[in-house]
This record gives sequence, structure tokens and C-alpha cells, in this order.
Amino acid sequence: MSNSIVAAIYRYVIDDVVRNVHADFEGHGVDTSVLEELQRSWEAKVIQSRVASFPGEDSINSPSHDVYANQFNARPATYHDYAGPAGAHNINSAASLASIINNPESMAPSAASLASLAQSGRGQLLLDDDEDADSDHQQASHHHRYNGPNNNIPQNDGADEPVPVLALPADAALAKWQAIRDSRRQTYQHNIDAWTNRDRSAVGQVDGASDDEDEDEDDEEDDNNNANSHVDDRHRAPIATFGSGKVEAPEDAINSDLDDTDEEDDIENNNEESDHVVLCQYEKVTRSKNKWKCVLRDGIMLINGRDYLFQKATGEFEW
Amino acid sequence: MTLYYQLYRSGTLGITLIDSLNELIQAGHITPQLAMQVLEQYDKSISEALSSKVKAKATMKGDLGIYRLCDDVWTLVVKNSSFKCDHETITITDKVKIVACSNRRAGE
Repeated sequence: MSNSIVAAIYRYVIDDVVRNVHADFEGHGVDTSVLEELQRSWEAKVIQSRVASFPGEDSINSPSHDVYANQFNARPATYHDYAGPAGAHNINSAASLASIINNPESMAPSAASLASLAQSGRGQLLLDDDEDADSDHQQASHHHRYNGPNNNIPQNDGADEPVPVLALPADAALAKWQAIRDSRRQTYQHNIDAWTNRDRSAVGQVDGASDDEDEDEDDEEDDNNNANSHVDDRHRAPIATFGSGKVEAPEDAINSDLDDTDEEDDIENNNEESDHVVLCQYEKVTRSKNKWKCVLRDGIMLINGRDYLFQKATGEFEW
Repeated sequence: MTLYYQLYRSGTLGITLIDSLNELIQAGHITPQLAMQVLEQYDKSISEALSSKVKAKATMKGDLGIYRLCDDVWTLVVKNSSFKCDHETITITDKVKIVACSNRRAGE
């Protein structure tokens, strides 16, 4: 099945990207250790996404390990290296984990075997963190330490970092970057929903709650970027900012449509967002009366929270 | 230099990369400019990998709900679809959104 090739292809792409941007990092005077950190963080996120089975990562990959990791997230190093400091990512996983914990029946494997599996995983992760601290990233290690044992939400990190983020970027590039990031977040949200839905069959309402929280956090983060404000400001700021209200409404509308109404309504309302997405290129798309035929190439399908790849696909649809 | 589609940035690999880059930007380790260069390299690497390393064939069937061709990009929303990849068949009653760019780039 084509899902089995996903891990190998993704590994190839990650390695290829890292290899080819090495010169770019040097050109910008950025230390190689940052590139290594990028690779590590990227790989951790891909594994955490569970869109495919990654060889040798099964113990880290299992949902139950997440529960374990969550129990230990008072140890910031573990949590950081496991999931990275991405706000949306972590908060969402924390929320979904909380709900998994609340539904113990979703944790199938035995606690004892998990504990040992996760223990080994954690040892590895802690080791990674030590390396990080040993490297010349004073910022990175400061950043880990600062967050200290009682802070579970690594999103705060970015804003905590005092100066450099303000000084470096040219406005245009920053704006462009933020636009990219924000649009991806939206896609990501849908994917996350699909993933979390997959793990918990019945509990729809919890998803909604975590969605909202997630959106709020995203917006707070965005607000922070735009205003370059410090973390103290953010904590004082009311959550219901203009931005979050604006984003929240359509999200709710989409969710309620998905939950409550039949799909015809979605189509008629031109509501085309979906948990299942196919990204590809087309050779041709033809129609004869109500029959459509498509020849598609080079595609990534995200279906039921799993990724599939195809070189060529044919589609026959009836309108 | 050939231009590569940014389409695949919406896939799992692209989104996770963007998140990782974003963390590095926020920590002040890299600039947005460098992050953009990494993303462009990602566009190239994923496009090449899909066209040269993936051999799987797939078929799809379903009810077409929405179709749109805009700027050479097809958007199709399909319901009650079944996807067949090699020997695995997946049935999805919910909507599936297909976004497809032309495989002929501008100027070719």
C-alpha cells in the first residue's frame, strides 16, 4: 500500500532539503547546529503527526506514549524535544491528550509495557536536549531553562525571547512569512482535527473545545508577532481580541456545519473545507455530460489522517 | 531555474516544516528570508521526490460536489468517494478536497 512508502519518501525529502540549504545557512552566517535543530524538530513533528508508520519510531509514535509524555511534561526538556515549541501543535496535542486521559478506554496497550517503551524514548530525548545545551546556542538553552518546570505551554518561549527576533527580519520578508504561516495554520487545523478524530471515535465535543483554544492561542501568537509585545503584555491582554473573534466565528460555523447538518448543505453553501485533502497536479480534466474524468499526477493525499502518495491517479466523478 | 509549485506546502511535511521554521524565527536563530529559502528548497525536493521516487497508482471515484478552474488550478470537492491505492481501498463519505495545479508550467 502506498502509505508504506511515505516514511521513506519523507525521510528522503527531509534529508534532501537539509543537504541543499546547508549553503544557504552558511550564507546567512547561521551555525550548522541550527540546521541540525531544524531537522530534529521537523522530524519530531512529522513523527508526531502519525500520518505514516515511521520505522524504529513506533514506540514514540503510539498515542499512548503521548499520554505518558504528557504526564511528564513537567520536565520541559522532554516535552520540548518531543514536540518542539510550536504553539498550535503543543496546545492541541495537550488538549487532545487531556481528553484521551479522560477516556481511558482509548488507551489500549498495557501501562507497564508502555512505561518501559516510553522510558527509553524519554532517555533518548533527554540526551538530545543535553547536546543542545552543550552546543553554543546560549539562546536555546536559556530558552529551555527559562521555561522551567512549571510551564507546560512552550508557546510562550518565542515571545519570551527578548531581542533578536525584532532586530533581524526585513519587514517584507517577515510579512510574507507570517502570511504563509497563517494560511498553513488553517490547513493544519483541519488536519489536526482529522488526526484527533481518528484517535477518539466518539467525543466530538472535545474537539470543538480544543479547536477554539487553539485558534485563540494562534491569534495571541500572531498578535504578539505583529505588535512585538512581550509575554507579560500578552498575559494581561484579554483573550477575546479583535483577531481571535474574527477567526473564531468561521471556525465555529464550519464545525457546526460538519457536526449538525447534512453534507448537502455544506456543498450548497460552498463550504469546501475538508479534513481529507489531495494535493496534486493534473494532466487533464474532462467532462462529458455529468461524468468527469481526471488524470492526476504527483499527489499527496491526506485521507483519514494518513498520508498517501501517488505518481498517477485517475478519477471518475459524477456531478 | 525551474519554478516549483508551492502547493505541497499544505501537506504534512510542509506544514511541519513551516512550524519548525517558525520556531527558529521566533527564537531569533534564523531570519524569515532564510526560512523562505528553506521552503523554496522544500518545494523543489518534494516535487522531485514525488515525480521520480513514487511509483504508486491510484484511482478515485465519487460524487462531484464542487468544481472550479481558476488560474490553472482545479479545485474539486468530492463526496462518497472511494480511493484505491495499490491494493487498499478507502471509502470516505465526508468531503474530500482535491487541489490540482497544471502539470504544464507556464511557458512550457
